[in-house]
Amino acid sequence: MDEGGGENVADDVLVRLCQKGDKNAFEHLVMRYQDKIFSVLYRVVKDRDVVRDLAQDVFINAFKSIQGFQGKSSFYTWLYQIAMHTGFNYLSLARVRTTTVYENGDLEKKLMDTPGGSGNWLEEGYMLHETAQAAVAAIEELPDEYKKVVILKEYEDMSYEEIAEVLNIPIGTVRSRLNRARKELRRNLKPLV
Amino acid sequence: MMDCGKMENFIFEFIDQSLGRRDGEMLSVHLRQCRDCQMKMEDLLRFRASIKFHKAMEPSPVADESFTFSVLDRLSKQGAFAPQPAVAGWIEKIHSAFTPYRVRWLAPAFAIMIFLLLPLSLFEKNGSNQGEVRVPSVVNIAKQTNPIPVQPVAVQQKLKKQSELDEYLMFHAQNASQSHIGYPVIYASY
Ligand SMILES: [Zn+2]
Repeated sequence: MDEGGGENVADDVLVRLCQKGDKNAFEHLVMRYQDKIFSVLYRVVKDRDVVRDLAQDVFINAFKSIQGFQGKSSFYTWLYQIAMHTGFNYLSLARVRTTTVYENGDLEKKLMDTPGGSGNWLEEGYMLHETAQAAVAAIEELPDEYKKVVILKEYEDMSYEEIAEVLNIPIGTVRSRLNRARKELRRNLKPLV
Repeated sequence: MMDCGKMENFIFEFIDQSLGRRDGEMLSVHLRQCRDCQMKMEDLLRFRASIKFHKAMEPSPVADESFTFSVLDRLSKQGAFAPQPAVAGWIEKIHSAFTPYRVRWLAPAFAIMIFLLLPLSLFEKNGSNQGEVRVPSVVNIAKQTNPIPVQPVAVQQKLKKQSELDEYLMFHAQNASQSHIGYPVIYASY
């Protein structure tokens, strides 16, 4: 951007400049969304050490394919789409590597990992902490299709419409997946809460 | 008992704050008489509270100061950007010499400082006459290099150029210093 501060310029204007190869315009888009992309990647992969590298891949792939961005959805849901793809792709590769180690003992393992009632925690705080750990573990147990909608809804606070854009599915499907995911979560959490 | 399956969808919509007023009234009537649905509602609210708690207790990492630069650098090395005009290219080079970007405002700020300090060193110094009004540098330079009395028009032109340059540098300083806190509107819209 050679004129104007850039930080108040709408995404679609910056995107059009990026499509002409404008570096400064892309710089603004990266700075605008980098923390959001870090956030969603972290909720997907849960590994601080890889988030930065994956986020780089997201932005680099975004710029390289920005010519194909038609503006039918908003830029940031398109960017999230790339992030979700990148994150889950990484997970599926990581799963292949660690399958034999964890198998399906994740839930039990996570629950055992929660800090014990050492006396420092107020009873209520400990309960909340334990419940939160259980909730995270329960999300982890969901099939990917459900996990995606739950992450976008619960962690990223997205609307049904935004989730539909990110995952490229109809709004009705978002709603039904989310509801089925919640039924399953509730079933899994039932003995714990 | 009323249709609990239908009420379950109302509960989901309530949780997502998308339940209409009429449906909300139906749900609240149902909840008063159905223990199962009450528990469903409580479980889901507790789940949501747990996630909020988890988000607060275990915040996601944020981009470090050099993140943007490394993304742009990787793309630059792959020749992904359009070539920049010569002048812009030089500004960019000076600019990126001051990476990470959080301190990049130093470059233009430094330039402005030099422009502001330079005239001071060129002030006419008549040690014996301290009360004398100091003359700005441009006039001073003109006096030193030009034996003929200063042409007011030429001075004006020079000053004009100087102020344009200052404005230009100011803009870039502002642009660079603001850009790293430029997370506007979009966050509020979630
Ligand atoms: Zn009921």
